[in-house]
Amino acid sequence: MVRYLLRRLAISAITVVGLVLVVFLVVRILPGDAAAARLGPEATQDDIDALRTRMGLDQPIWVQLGDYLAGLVRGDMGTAISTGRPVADELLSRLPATIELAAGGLLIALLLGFPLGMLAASRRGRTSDAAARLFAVLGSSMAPLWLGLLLIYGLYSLAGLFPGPVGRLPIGTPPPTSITGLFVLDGLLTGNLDVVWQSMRALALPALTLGLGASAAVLKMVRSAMIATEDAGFTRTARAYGVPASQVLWRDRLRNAMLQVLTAIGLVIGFLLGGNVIVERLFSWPGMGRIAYDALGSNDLELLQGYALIVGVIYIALNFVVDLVYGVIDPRIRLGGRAA
Amino acid sequence: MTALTTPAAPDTLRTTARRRRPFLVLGVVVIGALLIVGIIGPFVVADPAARIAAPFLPPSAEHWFGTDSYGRDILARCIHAIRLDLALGVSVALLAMVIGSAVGVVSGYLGGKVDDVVMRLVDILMAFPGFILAMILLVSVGDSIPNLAIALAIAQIAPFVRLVRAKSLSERELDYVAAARVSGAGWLRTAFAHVLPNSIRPAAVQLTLVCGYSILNVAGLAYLGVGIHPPTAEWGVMVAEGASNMLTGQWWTAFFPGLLIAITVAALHFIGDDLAGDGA
Repeated sequence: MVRYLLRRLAISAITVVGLVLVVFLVVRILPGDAAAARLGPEATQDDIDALRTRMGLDQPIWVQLGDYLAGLVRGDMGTAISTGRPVADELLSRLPATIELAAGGLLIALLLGFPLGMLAASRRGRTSDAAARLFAVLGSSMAPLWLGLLLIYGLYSLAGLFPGPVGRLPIGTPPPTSITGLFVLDGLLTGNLDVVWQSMRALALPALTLGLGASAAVLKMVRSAMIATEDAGFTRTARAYGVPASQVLWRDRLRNAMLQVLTAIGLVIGFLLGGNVIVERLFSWPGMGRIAYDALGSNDLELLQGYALIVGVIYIALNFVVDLVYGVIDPRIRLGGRAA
Repeated sequence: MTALTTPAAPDTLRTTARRRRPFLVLGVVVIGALLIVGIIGPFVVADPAARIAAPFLPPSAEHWFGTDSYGRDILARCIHAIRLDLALGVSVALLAMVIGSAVGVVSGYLGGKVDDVVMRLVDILMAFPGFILAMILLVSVGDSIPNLAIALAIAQIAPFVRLVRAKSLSERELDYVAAARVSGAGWLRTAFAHVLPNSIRPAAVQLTLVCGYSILNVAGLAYLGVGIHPPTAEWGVMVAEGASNMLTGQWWTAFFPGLLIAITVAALHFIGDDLAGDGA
């Protein structure tokens, strides 16, 4: 287990280093000039040159890379051109809003995708299987923007069931005392049940927009993983020994299927993070995606670079956690077999 | 030679030929109909830029999909957009498949150090959600339609590399590869002329899916103001333009172009799922 753990940790570390290099290079190969973009069209060449010197853009690329890496080690991701604040502060202050939204989306994706996938696998080839698969195809065929608009129109404009797209709380409601930055959790911790209720209502539509699309991926993976265990040797052995059907299903087959399902969940979280820019803009959700959208509009490459880096690191960290859970679930990995 | 190349696993196309394949038929019919309307339609319907009626007319017998904020006919704009959307989807998918399959077959066939390096690079590519990677690339290299296609393609290369590599790993152990080698073919020729044609099947399935993702991603990027811009008649741009009208009640401006995206992507999924042998 320790060897497996160290191996996965080393691979994650290499990937993080590669990620930093890619993000750095992508932003540096751009034809535009960050200094000129920051000063606007009226700047003189002297002003631009002076700023280039101050930003270090006149240095050779490896010196710039060295400065950038040295900054990252200190937690300094540069300064956002558009706001003048440190990139790390801009993004990390918005992280809780994004996590709350992604968690809501993941919860909906699992609540819908898991039971439907199990149902489809157990009734393979019948009408309910076809219906579940149809749901999966439709769920992954709708543009998140369009789905969000339909939900807003149907459930807010027409039915009035949920608040409109105005962010994490209705206008005028003060946020709860900040402990974790997640409004639902903070409300619970401080006993402010009104805030819990209000923020869950505000979370419902954006989380549903993200979750419906993601549930399709979960459904497909649960279905195919469960079908793969149907004819597996361990299933036949268990049945031959007379193990009750429900125990074969819940203990043997589900546990074996979980390996693939976990990988799918890792991918789903990536989808939730990637879809965030659109959903956060649509619902005025003040998360990191919203910052990335503003950075796009103001051509703020430092901020975009920081956003890509943080999302990438979160993604790699999650996949590392998935690998760890693999080790816990699968004794073949835990007891020192080769990593799959 | 063909007898030797037949894989041990049953060939999905052949074993499924006898069952009814309603989803495949549906998908092919929808895409076929779109192609026909996309080729002929623009000669029949109004100019997509023409302001031919009052703004915000709801759907009626005269304007089936209603009109938008400039009084342009939404059906006419949707039909003009078919060519651009399908062309973008197909070119992104083909570009990603060509690059990804070439890298995948070399990585899988050669193995060893080359394979290790390629797989680490793929891990890095996959550390970004595809949409964000495309967004950053597009902003860095400059906003234009060819760059949009390239950025979206780069974001989709990794799955092609993985699929083709995995298949080449098992293919290279088979007798026909040894036969090619002993008859004097170099590694490049063996990899591309012998292993690649037998390892491309999973990539072909991925092709249909990526085609759909690309159409969705074009729409998402348009909403963020990068990629394709108004007043171009493109489904994603039209949904993005219509987004603000949803709250004021003119649901049809965003609804119909978004519906066409959903139908097209669903049709591509149906075809892809069927080719993957994912059926009942």
